[in-house]
Amino acid sequence: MKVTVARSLEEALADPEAIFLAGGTDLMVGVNFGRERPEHVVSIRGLSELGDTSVGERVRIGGGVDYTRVLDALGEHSPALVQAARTIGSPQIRNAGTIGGNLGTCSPAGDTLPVLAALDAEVILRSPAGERRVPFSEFMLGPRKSARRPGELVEAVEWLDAGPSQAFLKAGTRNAMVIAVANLALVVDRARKAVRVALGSVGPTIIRALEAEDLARGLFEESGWERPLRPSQAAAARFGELAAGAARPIDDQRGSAIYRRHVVAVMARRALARTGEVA
Amino acid sequence: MAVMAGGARRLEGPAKLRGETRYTQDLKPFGLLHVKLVLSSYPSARIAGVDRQAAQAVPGVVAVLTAADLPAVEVAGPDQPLASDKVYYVGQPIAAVVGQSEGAAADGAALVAVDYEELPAVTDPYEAMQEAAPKVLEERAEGFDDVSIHGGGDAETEPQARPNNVSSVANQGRGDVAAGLAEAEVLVEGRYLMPGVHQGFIETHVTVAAPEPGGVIAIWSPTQGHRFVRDEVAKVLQVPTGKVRVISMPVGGGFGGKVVLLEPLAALLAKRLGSPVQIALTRSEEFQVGRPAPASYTDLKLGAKRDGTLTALEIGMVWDNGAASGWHAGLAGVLFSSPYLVPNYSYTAYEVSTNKTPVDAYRAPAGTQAFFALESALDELALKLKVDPLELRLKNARREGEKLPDGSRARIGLVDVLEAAGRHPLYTAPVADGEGLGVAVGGWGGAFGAAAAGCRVEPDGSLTVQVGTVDISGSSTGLALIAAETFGVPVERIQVEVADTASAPQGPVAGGSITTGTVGPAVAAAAADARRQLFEIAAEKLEAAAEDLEISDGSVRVKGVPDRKLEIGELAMGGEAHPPVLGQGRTRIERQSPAFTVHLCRVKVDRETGSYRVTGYAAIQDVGRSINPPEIEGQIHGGAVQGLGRAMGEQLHYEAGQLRTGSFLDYELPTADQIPEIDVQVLEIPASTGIGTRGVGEPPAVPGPAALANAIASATGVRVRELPIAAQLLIG
Repeated sequence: MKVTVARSLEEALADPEAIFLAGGTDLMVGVNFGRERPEHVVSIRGLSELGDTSVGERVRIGGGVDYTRVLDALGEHSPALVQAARTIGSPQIRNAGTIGGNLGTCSPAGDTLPVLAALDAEVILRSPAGERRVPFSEFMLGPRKSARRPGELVEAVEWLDAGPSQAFLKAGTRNAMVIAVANLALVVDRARKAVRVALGSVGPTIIRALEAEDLARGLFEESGWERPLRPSQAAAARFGELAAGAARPIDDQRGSAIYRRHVVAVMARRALARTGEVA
Repeated sequence: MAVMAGGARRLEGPAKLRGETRYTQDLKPFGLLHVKLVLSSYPSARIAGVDRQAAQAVPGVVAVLTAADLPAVEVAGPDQPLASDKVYYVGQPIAAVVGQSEGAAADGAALVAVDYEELPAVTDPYEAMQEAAPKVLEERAEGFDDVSIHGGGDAETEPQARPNNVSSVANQGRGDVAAGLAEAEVLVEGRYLMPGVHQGFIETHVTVAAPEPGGVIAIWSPTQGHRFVRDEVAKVLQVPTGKVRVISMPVGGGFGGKVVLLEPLAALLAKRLGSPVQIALTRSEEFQVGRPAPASYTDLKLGAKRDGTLTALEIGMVWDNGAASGWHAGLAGVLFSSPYLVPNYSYTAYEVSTNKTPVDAYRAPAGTQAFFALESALDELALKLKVDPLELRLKNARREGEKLPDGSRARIGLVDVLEAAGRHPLYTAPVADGEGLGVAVGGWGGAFGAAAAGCRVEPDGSLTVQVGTVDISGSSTGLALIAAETFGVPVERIQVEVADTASAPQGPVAGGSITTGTVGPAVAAAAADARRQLFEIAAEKLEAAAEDLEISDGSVRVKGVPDRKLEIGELAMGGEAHPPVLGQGRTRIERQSPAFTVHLCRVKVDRETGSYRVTGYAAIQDVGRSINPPEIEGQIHGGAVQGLGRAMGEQLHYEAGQLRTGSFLDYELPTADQIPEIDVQVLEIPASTGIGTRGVGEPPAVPGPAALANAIASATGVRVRELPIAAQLLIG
């Protein structure tokens, strides 16, 4: 196995067959289990080009930014992503794992992915041919399958600041160090009058619950986008049902499909209540 | 008691905290070769061939060996050091790739191509018992398992009419259970499932073996029983025990799972290659190759009168032993009948073999499984009868002086721990809405058996206590306290040496909570013997009667005459006039002194998601005479956490013979945020045997699952009979 420690983006992108190594929280697990025996590993950990964090009207997080730095950089911004980053692994894992890695691996259980979907983020890919921007809705194609081509690197991810009405909820068998049984992100962009609900760990990709989004949009429309929303029990229940209806879960040792649907409904109701309060 | 008051933190603790302790994996003998095992990918298969060419070509690979390259061994079936022609479970070692570095060995192992002819496999114990199921073990494959290590309990076998893949049947009972059930006015019944679990120790299995002059093989191992390893390796190598020397290394967690595993193979490889070899398992290998605890299925019927008097207990159990013959059944039968007086009792248990990793001991083997079912049923019964769960237990508890299952009338403290639990604030505080309170009893048999110890006085006046039992729990610090008190010097003046097998005195395998109870009396006797010898010499030299002598400040003195003294070290070395001091202790404990505990658990449940949080936990335990309070508390904390781990998240989940929870990502050990403060309350009801101690390590690992399940039932009304308790089981 050949290992290159890239000193520049050009070096990192020189071999289109190479596997990128940033925090190693996915790759090394694969190697340890004998699932991956890469021929050529390119370490991109030291690349300053991947280290951007800028917060403003448009938020940009470099692909090489680890979760601890995501937390530092965002502070009060994009609270759903902050909540998601906090639930990832342990402090050690948050110090190593990167947002580019979460996107690069593209597991349906990736904790930041539902948030990036609900933020309608844009994934910025870099290859020797240049930059390519892919909306998250077109990025994830299946479990560990994405629109990223061989040799392309996740340079950064960007989204428009959607304001504070956001929630991320995760159902797991314990609170820390756990792969989600199901997770859910809800972003209510009150300024742009948009609602987006995204589900993780309940299908082959991150799933947008479009009918639930429509329902919620109607509720906010009715009560006023600038005002707190206190949905009726029936409306909240319907929102939960629609979110659960969008899920396509499977049974595995972490949870049954039935439970996953059930818990998506509960999380959706709670997320609506929380985001509704924040105006 | 002056010396022991307050006890002592572990003598080896500072070295561990500073990272100075040298574990087996830190050993780097000159010329050390590293072994990577090639493991079976199939639950059952014939090995048609092993292609090692590519592996042998890897730079740094020294040899690629299979069973055919090693001398034939006595061991058959799944316990063979390397599979000879057939594999019985996923993870069974097939070939050993030996390299100059771990990396070379691993690269080589990845290139070994095993040609399998897949055979039908059976991984569910109930399916295994069907006539049509494939036979897992050809013959009663005798493994290394030895029930006597873990606290006795004979399985009465019933060879006739044994279902398929059942290696033995345990039958126990008294009275007429059918009549007892007919007489019952209230009945509780159910099937309780406990999955297999791994011991989860930090240090995975590792061993180093090296050839020594005279045809001796030396083995360094963090085993719980180095003398047992010596005997097993000698058997495999077919050499006298004197040709095997086992050096006991610091144990990075054992919990029953580290007795003997890789040592015979390491010895064979060292012998064959003429070099020291190390085998060290990675975590994912550990999950497949180690010896976890069996899964159990318990069908239980418990009958009682309206007033709460138990009339009958009927138990049918199935133990899923993986590719082993198993030995838990007999033990569980005894434990089921130990805490309560039930006039009619019947117990039948099948030891079933399946195509999964062979099982062995895990802290309180059979106890955790038995008490999960029994204590859940008692709780259900209390709810049905609308009586306080502690009252119901007190009404039926075996009291001091009553005959125990082994026929003895040893002093026990079950009633005392139940009464103390009733006074505990965690029990008496009101239960809030959405909260639950659970109670469960646990018990364990305790120490029995023979042990010897030596006590040598060093020139500096300190004592070296030599024992043959490994320290897996801080037990050596307790033994030091016993020697210190008996001999009359501060504990800092004691070294406890777990001698290698070439010089170690007799001592049991460290397991079953028996070390302090069996080795402690031998150490006390050895220290007393040394003191007597020392006083004999001093009496003559100081021209005083032995009764008038005392030890203080490193000297033997004549009481009341401070100037007339001689230093211990000097006296003990001997000379022309006197022989040196060398104390000996030889003791035997005939009867167990059972220990009981009650755990209290408070839980808060989110009724919508089913997720729950343990908010309070207490352990009340009869420890007999307490030797070392801080270590007792540590043992109880650790045991309670392990019990809660099994209750909350741990399970070996197999699909078609493949382990799906083979890493700490999927195998959910409890994390710190899941465990509340554990309040420990120790009762000291002296045992009637030995030096009055009771086993401390096992009992706290027993009640957790039932305590949590009962707390959850109290919070939600949902009775969970299946571990781990998943959120999805708690919603409508």
